[in-house]
Amino acid sequence: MEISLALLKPHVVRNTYALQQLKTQIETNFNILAAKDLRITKELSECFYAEHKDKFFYYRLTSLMQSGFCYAFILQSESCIQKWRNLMGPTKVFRAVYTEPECLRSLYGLSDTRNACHGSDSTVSALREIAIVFPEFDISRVASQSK
Amino acid sequence: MISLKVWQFPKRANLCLSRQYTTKSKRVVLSQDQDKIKNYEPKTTDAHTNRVYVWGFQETGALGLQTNVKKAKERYTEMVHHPTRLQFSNNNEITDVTAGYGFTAYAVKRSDGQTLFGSGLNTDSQLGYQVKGNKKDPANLDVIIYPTAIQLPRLQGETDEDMQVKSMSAGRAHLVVLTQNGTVFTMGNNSYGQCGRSIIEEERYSGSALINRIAQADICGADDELVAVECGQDHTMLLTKLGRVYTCGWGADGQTGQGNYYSAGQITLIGGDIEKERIVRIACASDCVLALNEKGDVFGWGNSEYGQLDDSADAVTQICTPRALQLTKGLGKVKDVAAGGSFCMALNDQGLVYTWGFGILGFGPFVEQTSKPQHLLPPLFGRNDFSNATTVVSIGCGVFHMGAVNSDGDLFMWGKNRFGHLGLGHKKDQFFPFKAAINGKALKVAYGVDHTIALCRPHI
Amino acid sequence: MTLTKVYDAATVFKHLNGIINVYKPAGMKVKHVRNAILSNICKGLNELKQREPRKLPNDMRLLGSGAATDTVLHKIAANSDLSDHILASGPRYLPGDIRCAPVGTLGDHTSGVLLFGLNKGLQQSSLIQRNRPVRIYHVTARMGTATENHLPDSRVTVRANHRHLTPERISGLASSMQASHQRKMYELCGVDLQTQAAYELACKGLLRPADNSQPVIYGIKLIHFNRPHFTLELHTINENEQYMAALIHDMAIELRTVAHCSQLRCIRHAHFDVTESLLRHGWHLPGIMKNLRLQQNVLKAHPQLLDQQRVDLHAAQ
Repeated sequence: MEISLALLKPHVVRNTYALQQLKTQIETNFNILAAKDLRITKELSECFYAEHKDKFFYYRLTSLMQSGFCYAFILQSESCIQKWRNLMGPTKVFRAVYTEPECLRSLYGLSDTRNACHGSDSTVSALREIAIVFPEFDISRVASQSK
Repeated sequence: MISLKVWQFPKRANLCLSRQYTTKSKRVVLSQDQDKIKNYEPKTTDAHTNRVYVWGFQETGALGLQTNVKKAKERYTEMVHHPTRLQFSNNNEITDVTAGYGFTAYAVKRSDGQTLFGSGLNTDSQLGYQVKGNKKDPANLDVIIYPTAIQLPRLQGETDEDMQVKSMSAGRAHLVVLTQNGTVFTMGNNSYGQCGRSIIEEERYSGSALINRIAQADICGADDELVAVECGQDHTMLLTKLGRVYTCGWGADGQTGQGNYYSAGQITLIGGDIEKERIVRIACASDCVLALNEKGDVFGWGNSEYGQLDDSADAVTQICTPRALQLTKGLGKVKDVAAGGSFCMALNDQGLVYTWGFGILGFGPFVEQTSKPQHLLPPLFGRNDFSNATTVVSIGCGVFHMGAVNSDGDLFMWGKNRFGHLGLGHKKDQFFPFKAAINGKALKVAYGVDHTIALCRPHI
Repeated sequence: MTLTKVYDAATVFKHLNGIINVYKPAGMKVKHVRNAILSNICKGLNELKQREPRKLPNDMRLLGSGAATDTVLHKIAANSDLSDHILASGPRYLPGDIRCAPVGTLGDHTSGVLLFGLNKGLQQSSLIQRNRPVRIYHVTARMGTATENHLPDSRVTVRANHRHLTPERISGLASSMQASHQRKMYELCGVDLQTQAAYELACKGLLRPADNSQPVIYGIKLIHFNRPHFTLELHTINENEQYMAALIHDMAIELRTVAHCSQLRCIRHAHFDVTESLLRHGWHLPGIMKNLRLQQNVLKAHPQLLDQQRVDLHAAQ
């Protein structure tokens, strides 16, 4: 089974109701391997978003992630990455509210940047991101279990 | 008394019939009324000039309608679909309201000297240090379900009158209050410096008793005075009498207008095209800012990803220096502006409402992106055969929806109906202005992200 | 237009065309108002200078040459037709000579603006009626007692306390009723609020109902509260007295009390205002002629009152 990283951004973590709802959604849909709240530091976010380094929104994204506590999950299920991305909906919240009004980002996102949550986009990036956020987590153990 | 006048008409057959019936029924009414007329002592309710209607998402407590957590659980309602009168406004004279993300602040005139109340999310202490709530359930500590006083720290000799709120505004998780004596109080999240103090790494905002106090002279000097505050989601702007704009907070989209894209904890005067202009109004609901000078020209800065500020071929998506907008040039003298998440609005001196950007702009169900301001027809705002003179007098918007108040005091709203914050009684989006059923003339409307607060004057 | 004094009944009758705005007293049927107006017009006309009796043709002289000695007959003008004389044929003008029809109708208990079309004005009156313009009423309710037909002249059925009622509660209910009626306005036009068609209709302002089967309320406002009475201002189309009385009754039930409708007054019908309405003591010929001119000005100022385009536009939906 696939694993993926789900990250709830600071502004949703501060909204107790939204946090509860998102957690329930995650719990009902996925097998949670690990969960923690963490403070994303400057170094961590730079490492995490290295691929976006040249985009105009890079500073916006990293400064948002640094602004408070995030909540991170390692999710596991069949085609986990796609499933979580479907649940989240499109990245751009202003468009998502019209195209997919029931997705998590349309419900709890505030703007294109403050888009409620993050999910890995591929198996490779999932493993990379998990390694950054959960350095203590042993991926090989999960991989061996699922075999 | 009723049908007796029929007598004088020369139809004899009818006359007899109606007369007989009338006297008989009259006798019945009189004989019944005679013995049982009760004298009521009408209860005089405390009449306040203003009242407040709230609707939208209730779970955060931002509506302040619940008084008891237990009772609220029994009659579980996630959202309030119809405008509902706030009980708190029955007992208090509310002078101003503002809405943030999941919380609301009320400016109140009271005999006991409290001037500021708040309800809703308090996870970043945006409503000050509150100890109310259920200690057993720590999640409840972060939610204030009924408006509670926010203690503003006073200096020696400051009177209740000094502490009355002159202007206030709420961001995503911070609250800025300007009092009558010109002092600025900021509370809540400061992770981008939006509270006007330097950013402290790893600061814990929950349960914080810190309310930052900034004197007027420290911001704009002794020869000017602050008149208004306006908050974006994570930044703060202060407007002075001479029309200068001071900002602080998150600048990643250029929304602080300081010429860079950094977070600023220092309140700074901004220049650009507005340097020599006398600004009279600033509007911002998210990351895009519009400003208006006294001549009716529009300026803007911040996020422009949906072409709100610039429609030229080489348009940039982030503008960090205030610039005079070209696309509003043809609108005539602009009286009011509003900026939402992905769209902007302007009201000109003829009472026409112009909208542009991306989203439900009020022209029917086709969600569109346009950088050309188009006006909505006056009949949409209640002008019809019988009220020829009705025009829009003020506009405003939240992140996903827009609103306008007309000269009759009717509030019209349209846009995304997230958690029922349009007050239409359902969750479906509204594609053109639709009147909200509030009982009174709207004086000020606070458009939150998922709730709406309307300060009204009663009809009678 | 210069006003000249006219003493001649025929000239007056020739100008007796158009719409009049009459203040109907409560307790009087529309039919009786009509009769009173018409008989007063006739009375007025008959008091004016009347047409002379017809002349007889020369070969049909009243007096033959042989009766020349009769002195009484000699005093009569030689060639007038006596059968056409007022004393022989009766008054020149009778109520039946004037065509007159009300625009819409008001119930027996309702007072206020009532429009009549006179003679050639009948065409205008039917156009106005087919346009279904909005009427504004002030409806006073008396709280505490409910009557059989919700009007004051019938048996009291129930009594209830109304101490808990405040103006806020009544106007709160009124505003929510207004909202639901607004939505009904779109339903009666047969459009879904979520469509482009609804937007295009909304741009046109008030939507008139497609037919006259359903009453529509455009506005309800509490304008006066003085226990045990309160007064509502209603802007309606297709209403009738029973509907409004039942509305008061239903509102009272919602407010956990009972009430009946004690007064109904129509203060405006389209652009015809109660201030220009002809009161009962003014129901005489000069008053009616003056009122005709006034209403003519209203029609000139608002030509859309007679414009059929508007109705077809909405009726087609």
